Amino acid sequence: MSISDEELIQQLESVPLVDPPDFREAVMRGVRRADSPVGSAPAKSRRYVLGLAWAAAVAVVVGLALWRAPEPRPQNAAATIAPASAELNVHRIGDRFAVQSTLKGELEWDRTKLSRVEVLSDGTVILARRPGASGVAEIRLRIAGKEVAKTTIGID
Amino acid sequence: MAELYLVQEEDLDRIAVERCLQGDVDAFGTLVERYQRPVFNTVLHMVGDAEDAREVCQQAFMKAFEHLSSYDPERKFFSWLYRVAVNESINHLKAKRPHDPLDETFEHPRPNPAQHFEELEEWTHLHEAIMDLEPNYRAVIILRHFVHFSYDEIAEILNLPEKTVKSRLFTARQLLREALEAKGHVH
Repeated sequence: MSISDEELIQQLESVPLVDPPDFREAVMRGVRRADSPVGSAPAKSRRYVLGLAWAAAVAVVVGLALWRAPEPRPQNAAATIAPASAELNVHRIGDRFAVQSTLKGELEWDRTKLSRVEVLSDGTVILARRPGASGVAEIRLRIAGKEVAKTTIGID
Repeated sequence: MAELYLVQEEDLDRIAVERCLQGDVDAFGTLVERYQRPVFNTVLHMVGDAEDAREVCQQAFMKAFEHLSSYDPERKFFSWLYRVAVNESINHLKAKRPHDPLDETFEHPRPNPAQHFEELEEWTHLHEAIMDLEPNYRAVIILRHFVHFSYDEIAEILNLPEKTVKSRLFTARQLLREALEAKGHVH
């Protein structure tokens, strides 16, 4: 008796996936113990130096902007408007935006331009640009009905 | 539709990786959550033992975290993660390889995932044959037929030309067939 390739493939592909023991917590404990996390020391140093350079460049640009234009700046010139400690951070990857807020609250956004894709376990909201949407879109954070932070993002 | 879903997952992976690299270690938890099931199943069939598989998975995720800065965001995150997991499995098997027994009649017990998971009992004969394969052959069988990667994805994971993946898979299935036939398991 022999077994054909098709029969073997059928057998192999009928093996079910089993549910794993949950090792997420164990991994995350290890990750947190790793202290400053990812990458080799030179890579971390490079990132640190780049971060410092970036921060210095931002400080210079913001300083110049304030010095040359004392009148109120339009809202879309700033990435973040954050009274007190409420802050909205937006990371863009392609047509998607990961929105994180430093305080828990209710997020609102321009639903004609952005749609919600997913809410991650840490509360990060993933938004996607709607097909054909362009220009800028506002994202607001409200706490107890009061707007505490707002950011304007370019979605082109 | 399926393609759209994949693109979305890849974007989410890149966002999580970027956040990790910016110091948000909790973002790594979403990656562990997303991939712990398929990665565990891959490692389980590679090493054959549930407890070893759990340890190898933890090590693989830790290693991925520690080397996250070497991940190229132009490539798929899951390919990179699977490469780490398969390499960890092979290293684990090498480290556990038994020394030649003094008594030639002595047989080492062969691990089998079906010992730990009832749902795999029906496939005991298949697992025994898979565990008899060399790890390189085992890996292509698992990646292709258990977690359903394409040839080019397997090529990326194993860092091999696609042609080599195809020929290795062909040989692996041939060896598997011979092993099953020798044991009388034709169905």
